Amino acid sequence: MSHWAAFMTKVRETLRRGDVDRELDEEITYHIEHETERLIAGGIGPEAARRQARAQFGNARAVREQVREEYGFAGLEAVWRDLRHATRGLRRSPGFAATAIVTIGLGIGATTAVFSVLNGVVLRPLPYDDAGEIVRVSHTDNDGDRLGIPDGAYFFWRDNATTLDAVAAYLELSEPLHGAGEPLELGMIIATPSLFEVVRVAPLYGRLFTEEDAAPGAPDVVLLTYSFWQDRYGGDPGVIGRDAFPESDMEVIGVLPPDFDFVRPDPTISFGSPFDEPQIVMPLTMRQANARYGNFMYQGIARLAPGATPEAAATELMSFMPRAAETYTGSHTPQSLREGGHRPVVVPLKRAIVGSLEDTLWILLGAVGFVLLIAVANVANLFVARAGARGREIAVRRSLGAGWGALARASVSEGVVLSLAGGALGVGLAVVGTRALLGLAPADIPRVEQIGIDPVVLAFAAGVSVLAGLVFGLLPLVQFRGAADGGAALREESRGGTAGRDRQRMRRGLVAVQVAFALVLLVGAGLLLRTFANLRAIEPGFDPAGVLTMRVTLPESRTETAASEAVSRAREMVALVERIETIPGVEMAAFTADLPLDGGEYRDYVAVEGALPAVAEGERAALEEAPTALRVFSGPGYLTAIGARFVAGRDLERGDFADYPQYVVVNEAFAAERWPGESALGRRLVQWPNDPEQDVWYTVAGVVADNREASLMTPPEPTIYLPTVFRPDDGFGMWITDMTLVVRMSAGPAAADPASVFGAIEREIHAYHPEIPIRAVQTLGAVEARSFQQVSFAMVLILVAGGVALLLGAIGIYGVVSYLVTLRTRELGIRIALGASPRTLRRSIVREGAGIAALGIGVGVVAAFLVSRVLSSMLFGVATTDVVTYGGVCTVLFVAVILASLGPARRATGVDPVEAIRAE
Amino acid sequence: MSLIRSDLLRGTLDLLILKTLTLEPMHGWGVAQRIRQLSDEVFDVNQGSMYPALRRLQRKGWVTSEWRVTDNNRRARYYTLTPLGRRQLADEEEQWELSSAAVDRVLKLALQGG
Repeated sequence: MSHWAAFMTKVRETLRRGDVDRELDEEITYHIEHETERLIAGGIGPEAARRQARAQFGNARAVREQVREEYGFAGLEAVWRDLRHATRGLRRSPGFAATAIVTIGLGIGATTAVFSVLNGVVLRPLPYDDAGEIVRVSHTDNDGDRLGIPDGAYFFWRDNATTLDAVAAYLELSEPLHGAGEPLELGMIIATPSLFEVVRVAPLYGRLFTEEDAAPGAPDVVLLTYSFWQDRYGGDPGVIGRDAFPESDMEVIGVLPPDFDFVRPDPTISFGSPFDEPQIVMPLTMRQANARYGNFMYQGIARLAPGATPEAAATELMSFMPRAAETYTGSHTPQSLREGGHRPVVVPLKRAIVGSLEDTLWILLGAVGFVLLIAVANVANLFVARAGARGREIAVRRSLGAGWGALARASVSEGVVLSLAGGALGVGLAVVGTRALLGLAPADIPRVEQIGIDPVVLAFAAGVSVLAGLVFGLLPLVQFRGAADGGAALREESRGGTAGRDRQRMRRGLVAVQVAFALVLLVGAGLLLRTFANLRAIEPGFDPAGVLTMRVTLPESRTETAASEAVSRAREMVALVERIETIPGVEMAAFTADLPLDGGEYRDYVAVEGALPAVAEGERAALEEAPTALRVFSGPGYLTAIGARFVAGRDLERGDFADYPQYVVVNEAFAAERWPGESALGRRLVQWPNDPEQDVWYTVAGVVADNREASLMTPPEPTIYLPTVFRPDDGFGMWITDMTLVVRMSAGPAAADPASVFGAIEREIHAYHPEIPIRAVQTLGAVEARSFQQVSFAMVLILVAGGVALLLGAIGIYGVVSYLVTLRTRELGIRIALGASPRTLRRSIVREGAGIAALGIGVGVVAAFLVSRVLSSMLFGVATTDVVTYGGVCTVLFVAVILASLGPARRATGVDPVEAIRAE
Repeated sequence: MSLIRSDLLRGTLDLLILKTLTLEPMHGWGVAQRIRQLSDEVFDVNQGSMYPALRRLQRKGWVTSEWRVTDNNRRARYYTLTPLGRRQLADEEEQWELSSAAVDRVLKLALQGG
């Protein structure tokens, strides 16, 4: 009971500290007056009595502090006072404080910058209700292709899945909008209304669409995305109920909120051409009666049932597959699905959006974390050295009864004050650093708008600061733990020489740790450097210099000719290309549907004459027996324009496109696979052999050297370059509307800066037709560079981190070796007096540095072996245990250490023997 | 015993204060005055150190305090021993007697030996 009362007393007193202070003052005043009266009564004059009473009482201020110490709930009071003392103490040694603050500030700044990117991109939840439950659903197969979901799967899952609360299917389309008198390309999402059960958003204005809006025959309705509503309609809410576009008969029913941004172009599944961001969202009409388990063309998004995991959902959807395929009969049977290795992939939406960047960011956080540790070790070293300089003072305080706890509190307070100041500096640096980081980062970094300094980032910086402060405040204390009483410490201190043995050992240890950390970072940087070099060394098979590319979409055909629309469109593209070629500085122009290394590769069954797979009567299954090849649709002169090298024959020519082209170009790999040891020229092939009556045959006109198509890292595979136009009866029944122009500049200023010609090209295109939208303007060099952007991003950062680590490590070595020289001044003096050669002395000093380095390198190599494994997914053509990298890094570190020890060593030989011996 | 000196002093002062308060509730000056008198002016400790000690005892629940008006009509804080404090005092006195007896014995032995 009275324990409880005591506790309450303490709480109350803490809460009303002001009152307590006043009451104590009153009590003290009363005491002194009372004592004064007593003394006066004893016959002493009033003034003298007052003085004596004060003297007897002692230092009233100290009493007040002590009393405060006696209550102060949870010691908060004491902590604050300790911090104030520490600040006062540090102000007396500004050099030390500044060095420590800057060092720790750099470490915390770098760490906080990377953390703020990680926080914005990866850690912050998506802006939806229970966003963690939203998953993207797709499929994959034995070829590792990424597939969407068939409509049959959508209906089956919707009706049966217990792991999914809601499921939606959608398409991403990009369509030119004509008649507006301006080039306009609409990015559209066409989705089942269930999308809004998955992504629960409330409309900013108006309403969302419902199942009635998606019913067949219902009037067309559209939702506008926030940015499109701002850009095109000036943010006017009055647009609700009106036609979205002049005479479009599409009624705007609502405006979506700004954070409706779950859709990212996914070129591997995208049905239409990819777009940057959607502008309108429309209901997708799907008839359950017509649904098939066929084309895996829809994007799937779903909300997990409470408690369900993505893995559980994937397992359940997998188990549905045979029944679903039987319910919704299509081109796939349970057997063909099994043989194809089709299986559902369920990935949390955030992971789907962020992708492999998440891993890179964690690795980078680890790297800057190492720099922070090195910075902490460096400051800890300063602390240890300072404790050494103050060893006498500390020894005296200890022998006067200061407990270990009091010393620890003082030291830790100093550490925390310094690291908090460093942390504040660090947050400032992080603001700048984040911007620099984003400048380096891959251009299409997702959720980039989420990156910033928010409370989470601040809490991170503060937490790291306090932790760092504790570390380097406590480390120097370890050396005092052995000294049982202050007397021993004092005696040891006054003897001077042997005093800091513990301290020396600790400082050496700290520097060795720095060397080890630096080694780990430099090994990481080295491995990425070699990866980068390997990527750069790859011959892409084309020459990106001086080539500008852009996506264009021709409006509906204007020329009514006898030829089919496909042919007339090809003729229009040729006409457009010929206009562009009149621009000064342009050497040639061409078009293609698929730029190399730009995502989206397509494989088709391709058979060559004489090796046609046996086709049983009308059986499509025979298709699967034809080998596949990568297929690139190209216009006349495309391969020449990108600088591909022809091994034999010629490129497709404009003349070939006057009617349905009959020719094809193949690469060396294809020729070697299908016609080994023979010439490919003049041979014939058929794409998607289907029906001998209708198959369209192409004759090989040329053979090009192997290109990298899918990615730089993917070795070339057999590829055919088909004309962009093909007969409508070849089984496709469609043509390509969306083309990429490839413009090669002639030598000179245009070639040096292809983008400078863009204005002229744009004018020429719009002179041809004002409504042709132009998108994705980029140099071919930029397309290529994107392939190693993530590697170079990580490489530059880790290289900088490693460089800083190396520098800090070298400074550490320099400091410790210098200190050793100072300690050994007397010994060195004697040796010089006895005639030791300067070389011998220098060597003995450098050996000290080398010893520390050897220890650090030994530990670091082991650590690097263990740690570098996390990089393996980013590496290309180099093992994580690469001997060259390890050897190189060890050499660099060792040389740096020797150089850092040379300065102090030279000073050692300059010791004046007479001075040195007399000094003690 | 591994007590450091300050703890010893602190403990002694606490003991003296508790002992003084067994007589009657007193204010700080009164306690100091009484200790001085009772110890024949041997314990003329720094009077200021009385207050942190009183606060400490109060926190441990051994004494309580309240503001009262003194005979000559002035406000002063009076300290009272609690039952818990009384028990603590008994314990400490016993402890003290045991240890001082031990010290006595050692001293006597040492004197005989010397």
